[in-house]
Order: sequence, then C-alpha cells, then structure tokens
Amino acid sequence: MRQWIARAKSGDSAAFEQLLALHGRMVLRMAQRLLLNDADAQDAAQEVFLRLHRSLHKFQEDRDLVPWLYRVTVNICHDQRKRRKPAVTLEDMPELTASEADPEQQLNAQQRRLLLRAALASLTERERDAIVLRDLEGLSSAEVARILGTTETTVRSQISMGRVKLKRRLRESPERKS
Amino acid sequence: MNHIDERTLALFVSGDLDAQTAADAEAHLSDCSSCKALLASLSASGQWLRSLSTAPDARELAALRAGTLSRIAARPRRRLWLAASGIAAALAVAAVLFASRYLTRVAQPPVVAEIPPPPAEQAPGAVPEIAKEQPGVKSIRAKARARSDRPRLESVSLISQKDGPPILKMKTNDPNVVILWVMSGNSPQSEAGDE
Repeated sequence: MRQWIARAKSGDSAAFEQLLALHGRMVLRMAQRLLLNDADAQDAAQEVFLRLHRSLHKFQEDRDLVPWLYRVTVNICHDQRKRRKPAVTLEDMPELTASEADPEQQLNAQQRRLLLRAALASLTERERDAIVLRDLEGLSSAEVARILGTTETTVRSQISMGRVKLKRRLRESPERKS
Repeated sequence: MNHIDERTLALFVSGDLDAQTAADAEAHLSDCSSCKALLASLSASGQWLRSLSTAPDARELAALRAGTLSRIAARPRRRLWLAASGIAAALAVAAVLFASRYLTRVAQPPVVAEIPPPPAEQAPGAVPEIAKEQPGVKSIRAKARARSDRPRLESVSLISQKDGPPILKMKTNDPNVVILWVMSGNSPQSEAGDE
C-alpha cells in the first residue's frame, strides 16, 4: 500500500489508478449506503478520489489510508446531503414482505440493494452513519467515533437506537413475555 | 422481574457494553426467556441487514474510475488557464506602471535653470564672494538625476571673480568629473582628470 502511495505522490498516474482500484469499491459502497442514491454516491466517490489526488503531496506515507478515506467519504456525503434534497425518502422504499425478511430467501443483488436502502432510510442520518460504519463496514465503536468526530458514548447511543429501529422495520420483534 | 432494556440488549449483541453492565445482562439472560428471545431477534435483524450488503458492480466501478480520471485530467487545464490569467494580469499591471512612470516623466515641464544674474560690479577693495551656493540652481539636479545613464549632477555653485567672468562650477557624483562653465563664453568646458 505504502509503495503505491509513495509512487502516486511522485506523480505516477498508474500508482494512483492502483489506489483507485484497491479502494474504489469500499468508497463507492460507503457512499451508496450513506446517500441512498446511486448517482449521488457515484459523484461523492469521485470527489473522494479527487480530494485524495489533491492531497497526495502532503499525505504521510506511514499513515493508514483507509481511515482517511472513510473520514473523507463521510464528510463529502454529509456535504452532499446538505446541498441536495434527499432523493429517496422512506415512503419511496418498498415495504418488506415476510418472504423478503427471511434470511434464507435468495434475493438477487438489485433486490438486496433496494431492501438495504429501505432499511437504512428508516434511520436518522446520524444513526445511519453509525450503523453503516459499525455493522456493515465492521469497524469498532472507537473507530466509528474517530471517523465521525464524536464520542464513543454518542456512537453507542446511535447504534443502539438504530438497531432497535431496524429490528422493528424488519418486523421480527417477538412479543415479549413478562 | 426487571427485563433488560431493548437498547442495552442492542449493544450487548455486539459486545459494546462496559464489563459490569455486560455481566449483569448475562446473568439476567440466563434466567429470562423473554429477553433471550429479544436478543435473538436483535441478532437476527443484524445478520439480515448484513446479508443485504452488496458490493458495487463492475459497471459502477468502471464509471468511478473513468469519472475520477477525467475530472483529474480536467484540473490541470483549469490550473493552466488560471496561471495564464495571472501572468496576463501581472503583465498588464506592469505595463500600466511603466507607462505611467514614463508618461509622467515626459509630461514634466522642462527644467530651466534659474541662474541669477552675475553680481554687480563690486566696489574696489571688496572681497569677492566665492563658491556661494545659489538656491535657484538646485532644479538642475532634478533633471540631471532623471538621466541615470549619465553622471549625476551633485551640486552647482557660482564663482564670482573680481577680474574675470563668473564661473558656474558643477560637481557630479563622479569625483573625476567637474564642469566649469565660464559665463562669458559660448560653450561649457569640462575638466575631466584625476584630481
């Protein structure tokens, strides 16, 4: 990784393309989940790599690129949300049917994407940020807090609220017995 | 029986509780089927959410690559345009400054040396006044200073002689160049020598 960063810093465009190939999937996936809109996500992901290209000269080679990319992706997605009206609202999302909510049910990629989008649209933006980073990207609460620029306590609060909402959204809550 | 709060269980699922709260929850769960069921439900919804996770497809990744590279390629042209604009602006400012200085110099009225007339013939026995600075002659300096390619005029003094015509003595910044102008003559004569 470091060698690609060093080469890209020295102006090697092939090395920059290698960084794009290595991390493009992660950045675009994050943007799609945070923005819930493919066109906006594509634009945001390109902006992330433009910013990387612009910042390469001051990027320390011993620094880990992945947390930087996460942080910049989140920031750019936040900016996009402020600039644009949300293209997708919860009302636009398909209702989940019992069969779709069955983990054993085989769904195609497009169906899964729409269902994930519907589930994430039921969360507030802050909850969505935390759930995407913690549950879908698999980062620790401490890492999520660093990326979002907040405290672990706040992140835990957002995660717990988000998980409860998602459970309700997926209609899997059993009746509690006293 | 006090059940565990649903949000606490939502954090217990992923090990996000502090050690004491987690131990208390674990003890309660060993005896409470209701909370166990809720925990299973939260766990299942988390797994279901992750099962929906899809990666961007090849078409989207190709669009990301192409879009990013084309936007990067467009940036140097913009920088070049900005640099060219900056240079053009700097040249324009320099031209205006140069022209204003040049035109100001040309527009100045010609400097005419105001040389006082030679003093009236002095009475016999009077001591001649030598090397007396005439203030009106100072304007010659300004003209001389404007010509940087020639020796600059430093001072002018009028030497009055009892038995001869007055002499205008002009010192330059070059100590080897002193101009003596005999007023009765038609042309100035220069002395250039090692003094």
